[in-house]
Amino acid sequence: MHPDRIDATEIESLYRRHGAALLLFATAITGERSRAQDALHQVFLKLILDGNLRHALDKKAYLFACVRNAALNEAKVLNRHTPLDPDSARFNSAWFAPPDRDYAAEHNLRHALAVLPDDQRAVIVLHIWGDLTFAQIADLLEISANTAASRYRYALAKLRETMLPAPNDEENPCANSRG
Amino acid sequence: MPIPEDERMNDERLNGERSDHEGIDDLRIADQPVNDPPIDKKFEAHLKQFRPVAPQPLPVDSHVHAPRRWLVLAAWAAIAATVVVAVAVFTFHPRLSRIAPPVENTAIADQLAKSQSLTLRSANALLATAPSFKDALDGIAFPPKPAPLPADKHSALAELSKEKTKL
Repeated sequence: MHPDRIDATEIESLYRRHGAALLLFATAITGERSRAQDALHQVFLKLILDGNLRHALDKKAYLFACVRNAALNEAKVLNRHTPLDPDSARFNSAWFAPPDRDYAAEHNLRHALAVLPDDQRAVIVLHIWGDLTFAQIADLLEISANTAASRYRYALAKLRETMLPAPNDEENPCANSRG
Repeated sequence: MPIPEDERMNDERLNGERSDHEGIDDLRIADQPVNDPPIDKKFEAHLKQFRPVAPQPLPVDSHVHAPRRWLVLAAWAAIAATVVVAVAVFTFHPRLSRIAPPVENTAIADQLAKSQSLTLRSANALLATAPSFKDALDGIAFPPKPAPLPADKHSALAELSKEKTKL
């Protein structure tokens, strides 16, 4: 065996550890879980067959980069790089296992993520569910750490705005009906 | 004594470790512009409660275990082939088969050729000459070996028995 190669067991272990976050990231790019799943499998099967992962200093960040490339390539090949449409039929499969089986909240979150700009959605998925630092995100998306952090703040604010009612609305449900 | 926060951040970065507050540290690394919205930590924590759906298992089991399965099949095939060969050898090998081999045939034939046939005359003669009835019966059952044939002569029965017969 080549010394730079890692064995299938280690790759499977990486898949178990990071698979869910990687799938979410790919879904956030493609908008379709089946296509995201294909991209994810494609990356890991390639790693098992001929992958040289030892040279990667940061394996997790490298995996996210591979999945991003695979998802974008697939979209390019299929000529299907369309903006996410939360109302389309292919958007029906869940992205999350919600707390307390609150599927309405899951749908709400998915919808809120879908309406975010692509670059903000990527940053928020990578930081919250991928557990990547802004420095790692910056390397991955080829932007500065400041830009990554800024996109994160805006994305978080927009998500909050979309998902949670404004404080004024809670205190005064009739606030919007004034005037 | 508590470690100063700046030192802790540096340590974490050097060790590649990650703390619960890494998000905050990250934001300090990237100075927050004045116009950027603030971070709602509670909302961040709320979002983290949503767990991404697990992916389907990697279709690697069949791939990885294929060589092992192939080996098992090969082993079974080898065992089966060995059994077939063994049965064939036992069945068709002349020395091991149940068909009486010529060597044994020759030995029995020699014995038959060398033994005298029992006739009424020889039995009467034995009864007449034997000291007792028991000795006469022993003489009939275990006749004395005849003198061996000279080297240049062969028994006809022994020669015939050497011929291989196919059944």
